[in-house]
Amino acid sequence: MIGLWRLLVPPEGRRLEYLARVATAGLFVGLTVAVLAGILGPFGSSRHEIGLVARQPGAGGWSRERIVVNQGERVRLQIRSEDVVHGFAIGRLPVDAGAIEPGKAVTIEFVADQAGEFTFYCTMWCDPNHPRMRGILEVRGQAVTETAWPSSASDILLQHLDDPRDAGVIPPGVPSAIRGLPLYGQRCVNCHGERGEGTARTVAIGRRELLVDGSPVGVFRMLGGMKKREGSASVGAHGQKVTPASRSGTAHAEYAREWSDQERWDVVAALWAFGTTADRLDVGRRLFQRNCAACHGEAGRGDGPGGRSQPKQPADFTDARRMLAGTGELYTAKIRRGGMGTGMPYWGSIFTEEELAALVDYLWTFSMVSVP
Amino acid sequence: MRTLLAPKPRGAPARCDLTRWPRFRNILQQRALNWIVMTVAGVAFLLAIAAGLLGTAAGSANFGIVFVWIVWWGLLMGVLLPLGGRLWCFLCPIPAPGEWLQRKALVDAPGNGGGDGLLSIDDPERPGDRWALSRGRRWPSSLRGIWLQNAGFLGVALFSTVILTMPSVTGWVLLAFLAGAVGLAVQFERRAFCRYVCPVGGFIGLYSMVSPLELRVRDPLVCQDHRTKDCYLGNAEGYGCPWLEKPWSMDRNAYCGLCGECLRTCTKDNVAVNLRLPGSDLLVAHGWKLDEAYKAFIMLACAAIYPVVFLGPWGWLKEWANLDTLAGFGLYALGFLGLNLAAVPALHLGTAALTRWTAGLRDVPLQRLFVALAYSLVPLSLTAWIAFTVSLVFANLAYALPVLSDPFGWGWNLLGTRHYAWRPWLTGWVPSMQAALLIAGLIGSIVAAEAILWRFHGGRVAIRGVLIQAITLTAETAFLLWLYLGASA
Repeated sequence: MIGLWRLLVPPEGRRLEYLARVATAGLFVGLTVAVLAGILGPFGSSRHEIGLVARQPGAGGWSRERIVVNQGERVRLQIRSEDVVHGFAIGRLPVDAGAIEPGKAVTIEFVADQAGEFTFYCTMWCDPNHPRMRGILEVRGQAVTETAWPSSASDILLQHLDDPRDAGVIPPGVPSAIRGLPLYGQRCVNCHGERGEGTARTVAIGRRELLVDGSPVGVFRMLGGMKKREGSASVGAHGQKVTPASRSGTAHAEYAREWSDQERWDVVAALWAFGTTADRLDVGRRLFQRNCAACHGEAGRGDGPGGRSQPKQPADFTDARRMLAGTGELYTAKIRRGGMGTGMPYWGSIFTEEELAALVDYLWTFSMVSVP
Repeated sequence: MRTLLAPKPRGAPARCDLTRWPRFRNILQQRALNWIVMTVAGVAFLLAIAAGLLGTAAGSANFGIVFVWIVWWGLLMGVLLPLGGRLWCFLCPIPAPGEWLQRKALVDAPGNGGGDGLLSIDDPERPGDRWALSRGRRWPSSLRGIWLQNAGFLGVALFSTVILTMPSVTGWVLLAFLAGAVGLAVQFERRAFCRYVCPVGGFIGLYSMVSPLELRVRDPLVCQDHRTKDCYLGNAEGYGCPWLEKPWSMDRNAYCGLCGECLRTCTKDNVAVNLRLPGSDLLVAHGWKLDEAYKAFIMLACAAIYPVVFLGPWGWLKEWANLDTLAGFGLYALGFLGLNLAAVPALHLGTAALTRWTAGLRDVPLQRLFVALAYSLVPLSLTAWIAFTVSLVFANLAYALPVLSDPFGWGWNLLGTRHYAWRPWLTGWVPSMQAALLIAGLIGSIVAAEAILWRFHGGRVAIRGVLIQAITLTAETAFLLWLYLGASA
């Protein structure tokens, strides 16, 4: 101790030595203070900026599993990656930090104006367990927004979510809205309108619900049902149960009957095309590429690199026998819930209803050729 | 060619005495000079440790990784070492705290309160030194030489893929260097760490022998008549040589840390810093030692391994070296150590034996020839390391600017350069530079081999022997060219 004391307090007449000691000690203390300030700054106790470190799930994932803020608070998040390129977004909120390169810090700001729990998640494929890289943003306030499970998913649907599906028939070729539209134009447009919007006297067959509530193969069978052996007084022009609005359509039964199987499938694709829009497909494509393609493959064949590490091979959306037997509601529910043992994460807390609809619309493009 | 390498008599025109200029000499004699450069470097060093231990784990955004393994390494291998020899040892902050403790002064000379008496840093038993902070022991004779440095370098090199990419590991390694230097300074006399332990100092010493910069006495005869040997023992103006060198007999750069103490203590104004034609130290026969020869083998082997592991396309080898699996790393370690300690030395033992037989040097012991000819590898391995450094530095130097603003990767933007985008520099020129460097190294090595053999017998005998060496060196250069320009390109 005395030796150290002598080292720090020089005798008189040693000005340079004294200056050197003061300067050295000052530099050391300054460096220490700067480092401590850094530690206690953005990643410490600051109220205004929340630090979030991204690491691969195997190395710990997000540094915070839960971020709690107050409703109405202006949130400033500083996110940095410690290993590979990550992404950051908050489900159901318009917050997306984009790519976060290793070692780079990205700062985003938003106002937490909705109370409730929101899932923040990594948007870049970073690890075989990338889909598990999630956390919760809790916005404390008066009104709590329920985001865990939309009410539209029925219990019955949930019970049958994992039932095997088989269309029974396979289209001779990939159903094409491009080929189906002229057929529709020749035979259907006069009664059902340009885009199947219907009239006061005819059914709106181009409405989106057609493939939400019914499967493509169901529509195909409906079109095939116009054959006489299936017809009866209660069966309408296309084989479906007659409703007052469509009863007059029985006069056009022969139109659909003359189509080949492929042509009927093409018309199904055209009807499906009426139910979506290019913008929605674009939203769906972007969501798919960002969140699904790693496992399901960019072409939806279930051959993405991420799928190899999953307990079950991801679904092949180009498998027409399987895909065309499902309904939009079914696929929406599966995306919401996740794959229960297949490795597919749940997305119900992340995607909005609009995003889910766009994504499901996009899924159909793998088994039916897109619109012109 | 030989005349380039042959030692010149003192004062010969081939040497340019930089200390003839009073202003330059005056600067070198300032005691504060060492403190200033070591303190500045020390701030960067401490920052590197702090960033390594506390900063981001992403190496490319961490000051510890970028400034140690890219900036410092590039500066060392590209500038300081080839041009200034042990100039880095003059700047190095690692021994500073230990030395300050030994001297009980940061700047002051012994005559002004720094330490007590002439033997101020290596004589703890002297009466009246109650406040000694160092025990000042002599370094054990069994541990002298650079074997420990060889082992340390091999250890660092073996784990280099981990050390060079993981900031926390770099931080701990630097901290271990600092702790080792302080610990040894407290126990042993002078700079025992630098002289006998520092893994970096070992290869700097080897390569400093081809540096164009040297510190020498002007006239050894003046020293012969000077009994007090102030340069070794110290006096009121300065401390005895921290590196335990005896300047009056020093004819190699290998263990001179260029600290300038002898410039301050010499009362005869007989110490000079010279520019010279490089390479003459390799021919100093009494300096040929097995530990240094092994250092030459290790540096050559590692110069071949590094581009394979760091730049090559063999991902599986990188995974092995990166400790992904213990079994893989075990195989890598076996190969790494085998190549360094057995294969390369065995190859050169074979060529030394063939040279001995071909050149008719039967009266020269094989071990002596083997050790001597190892020094001919120094120019080639140095240029191979510079070639490796060229690709490493030009590809990664752009990381330095954002890291200056954000040393810890915490999102700071101190200098406004945080968002500077990474891009490799001069990549089109790198292969040409590497080829030119390796060919220059080959020429230097052949010249060195010829000069070394000429020392044994001279004339036609040397020419026959040098043919074997030239063939071996050319084959090694071709292999290195393939590694740098073919496999790793």
